[in-house]
Amino acid sequence: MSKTIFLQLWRFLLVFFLQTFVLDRVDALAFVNPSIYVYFILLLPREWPHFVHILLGFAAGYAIDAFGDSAGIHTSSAVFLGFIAPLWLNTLNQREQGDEVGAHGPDQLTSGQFLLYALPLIWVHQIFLFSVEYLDLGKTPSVLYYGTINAFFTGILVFILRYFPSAIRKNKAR
Amino acid sequence: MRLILFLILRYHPFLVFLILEIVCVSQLRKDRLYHDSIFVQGSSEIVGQFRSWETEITEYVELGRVNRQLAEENARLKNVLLSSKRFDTASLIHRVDSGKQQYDFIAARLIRVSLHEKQNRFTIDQGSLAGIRVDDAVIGNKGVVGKVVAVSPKFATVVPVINIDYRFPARLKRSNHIATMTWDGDDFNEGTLNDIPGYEKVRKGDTVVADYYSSYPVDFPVGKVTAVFKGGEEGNYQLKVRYFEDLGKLSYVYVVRNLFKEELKKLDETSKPTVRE
Repeated sequence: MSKTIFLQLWRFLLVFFLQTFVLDRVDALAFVNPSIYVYFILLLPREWPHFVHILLGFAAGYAIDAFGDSAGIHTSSAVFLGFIAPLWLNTLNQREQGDEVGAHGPDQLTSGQFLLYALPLIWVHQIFLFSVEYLDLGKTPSVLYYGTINAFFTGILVFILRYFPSAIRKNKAR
Repeated sequence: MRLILFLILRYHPFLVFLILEIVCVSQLRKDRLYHDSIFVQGSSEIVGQFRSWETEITEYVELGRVNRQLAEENARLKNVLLSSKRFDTASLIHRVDSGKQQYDFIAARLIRVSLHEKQNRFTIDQGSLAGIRVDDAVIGNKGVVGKVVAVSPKFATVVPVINIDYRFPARLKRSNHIATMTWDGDDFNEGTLNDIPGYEKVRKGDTVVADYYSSYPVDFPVGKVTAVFKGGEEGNYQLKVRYFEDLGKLSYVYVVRNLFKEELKKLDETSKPTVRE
């Protein structure tokens, strides 16, 4: 149990530093700002109660907002992600294993399953984030455009973080 | 209680989500002018919309009262208008009582209407307490309606022009020929002006007005001639007259009190023996 908690704490600190001190300060592509903190929320253990996912989403978003001067935008979308991620995982597990609900946690998913799990959530999270940012139905095309581009880059980073360390470990083992 | 507890436990993640989103929104409003302005604008629109619905509902609910106020206002205006008319006429002949009002108007709402019988009757929501008496004339905004035949303290029964037993003197405005208006019991929009002599020039479209001997104000509009028939042995005309007042759509009427009625009646009675002699 404590190992799980430490793992989550490590992930939290990792995404926090990456987001705050790297991604938020790189202006390579003006409108691209991947939200790497979603990695932490997406990989929270499925055994933990649903409301804990939401609360930890709130904590992660709040930390990013506090340092990024974004006043609740990331908090709001991280809470949203914390709310929908366990629901989406349950849905996928139910589809895959019939009545045996939630057999896999995010850490046990194969890369294909993880893709199916993470990509829609990242995209929805980004759309939510830009919707809160603009708060204007007239700007729906912009919301969809920027949301999709940022979701793409966020997805790449999440996959790198998820599979890069294990790939290195495998290489070393050889 | 158990059900409430069950619902909270079943849906508590959603409640947590909702509460935290509210916290985020308040944070956004506090720190960002743009978001705050959008929320203020949005809430103004919503509040405005509710206010507008509220006004519409209130106006609709108050329509009855407004209608009555308008009817009373109309009655007051008619009082002013027709009393000044009397002033003009009288001033030409005699100035002693010039300016004295001849007609008084009382607004009333129709509470029962029959249109499809031979002896139609209307009931109005004003009676003797409002000063209405038997034989008072009843008019609408466009033309004659009928005559009061019975009065209780709060209500009155009106015999409308569409009652086969009701007849009243009227005349053609163009020729001033006096005749009797009746109703034949068929169409509640049309009456008949009887026995216009065959030598009179009568045309479709001629206006028929109430005569001095009727209960209605002098020259008050009755209707328009729509058809001319020659009938009877003496070759007299019978005219179909379309009433100006649409009796099928009436909701408010005015009871007309002729304030000189008693005086005129007495005068007629005292003059009878003299005429006989």
